[in-house]
Amino acid sequence: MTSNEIPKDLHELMLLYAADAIDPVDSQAVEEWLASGDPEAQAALEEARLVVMSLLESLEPVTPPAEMWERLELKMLKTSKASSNKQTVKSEATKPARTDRPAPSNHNVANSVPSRPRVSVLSDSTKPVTGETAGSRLTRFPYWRSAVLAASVAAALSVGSYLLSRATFDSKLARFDEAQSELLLKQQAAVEQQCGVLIEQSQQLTEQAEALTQQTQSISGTINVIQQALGEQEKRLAEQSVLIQSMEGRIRASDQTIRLVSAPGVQTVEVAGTKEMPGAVGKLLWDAEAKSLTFSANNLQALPAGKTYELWFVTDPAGPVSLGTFKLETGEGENAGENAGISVGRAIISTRAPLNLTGIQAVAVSLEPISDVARTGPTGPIVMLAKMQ
Amino acid sequence: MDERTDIELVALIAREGDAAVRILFDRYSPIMLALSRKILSRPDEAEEVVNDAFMELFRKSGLYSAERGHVKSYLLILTRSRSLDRLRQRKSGPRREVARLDAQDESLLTANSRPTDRAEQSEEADRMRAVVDCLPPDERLAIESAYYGGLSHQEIAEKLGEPLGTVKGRIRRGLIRMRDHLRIRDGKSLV
Repeated sequence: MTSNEIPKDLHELMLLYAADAIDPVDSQAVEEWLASGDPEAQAALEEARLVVMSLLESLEPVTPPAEMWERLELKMLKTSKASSNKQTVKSEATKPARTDRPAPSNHNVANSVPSRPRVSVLSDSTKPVTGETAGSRLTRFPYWRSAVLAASVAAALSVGSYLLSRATFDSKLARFDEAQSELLLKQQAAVEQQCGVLIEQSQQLTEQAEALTQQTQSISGTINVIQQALGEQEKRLAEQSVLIQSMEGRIRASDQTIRLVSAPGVQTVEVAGTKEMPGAVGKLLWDAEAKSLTFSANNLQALPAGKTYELWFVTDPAGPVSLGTFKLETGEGENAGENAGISVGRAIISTRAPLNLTGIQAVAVSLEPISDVARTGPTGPIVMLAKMQ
Repeated sequence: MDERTDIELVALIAREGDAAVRILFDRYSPIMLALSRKILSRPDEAEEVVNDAFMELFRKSGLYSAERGHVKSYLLILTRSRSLDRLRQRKSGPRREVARLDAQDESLLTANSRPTDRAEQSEEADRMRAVVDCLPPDERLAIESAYYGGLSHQEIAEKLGEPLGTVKGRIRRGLIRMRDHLRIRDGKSLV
């Protein structure tokens, strides 16, 4: 196709083609024109490219934010790192030479742009990439010299290139590590600060716990004191209760004594100590009608351990009848003052005799062992004795 | 200001890594960001797309050849392509699916939505802008709908509520007008 034969329309279609605004049918015609090798097609494409560029150049540039470059730099660093790792693995294998660049290829970057499947607008040539042809120069030297020279140059270039790229990579890595270290230090400082706060809180809690323990101990002590005081009060109350019971007994005995003394027909019997207890003296008030009696004694000897006094009526023909056992009144402890006027060895017993009791001959007091077994008569010595009329 | 050419810098990427990329980033990320934002209208997504484009250059720098075209053009075409991919994913439909004209698309199609934070503009950019500014609004809208919206003629016609032939005519006339403007500027013949 010559310049004269090219329809004017084809130049216009080239504009549409470059601007990515062409119909598929027209696109085919343009691609055929380009494929024909017609220099005018290339010139038309170049012109159309300028038109499109003018469209792009009319855009108002936008200043990128600083962090945009930082993101890109980080991406590149990661890619370099990954690539470096791959290279290390490769060099450990039996690869002949190391290179940081991919092998030459007929694929160029512009053609790799995903767009319509046609010749790139930007490509002004479809020739494969070719380096400088060293073959002509090499033919001036014997083959082995050429080979050695080429190998040496290649090795030197390869090592130089490797060292340079390695140094660059190391410097990037150092910067990357530095940034990581800085971040770690910041995080560590934050953790330490949090630890400080936690320790402070822990100390405060410990102090509060100690204060609570002290309060608890103090309360516990107070409770002990109160419990002790209560125990003492209970003990005193029990003593008071015993005393009250004792006094009630005595009051009852006194009442009976008074009643017996004042009642008509009451017999009074003086009871003297026997040779077993010569100092002992006593008095029996006996209401034969009511079968009621009160016996009081003085100067009785203190009871030996396990012994008690027992009061008896001696009857005929039934023999001795027990009227009950009794102990000496005590004048010890808190009641000593109250009993100070009472003679030591005093005892008093008020009771009733069996209603069918007859034929009373005498009244006696014997010293008996403390036992639950009822006795039919005195077993120990008679310490007091008096005849009854 | 680094005096090295784009091609030299691309060749240095394997050795200097991000230092070389940084220079290209400073040179072209503003226009790439403008393009991606024009298409996507979302700054965060636009930034991702631009960074992805640089990552692709970083990974494939060894494959780049000076014979393959300008680095700037490559980055811009890559940015446009990736941005349109995202736009289509967002719409979750096939490439040429006709979608309703929503607010986002409307802003995309509206000319002169220029950021104001740029103080200096290069002389070349001013000249290029003059080329676009020479377009009547309806032609400009039709061209930008196709280029920034990735829409077919039919889709543009439906969205603008205009006959298909009218839309086609506007795009063609607009592009020719721009080309002629460039020819006049460069002192070339219009024929």
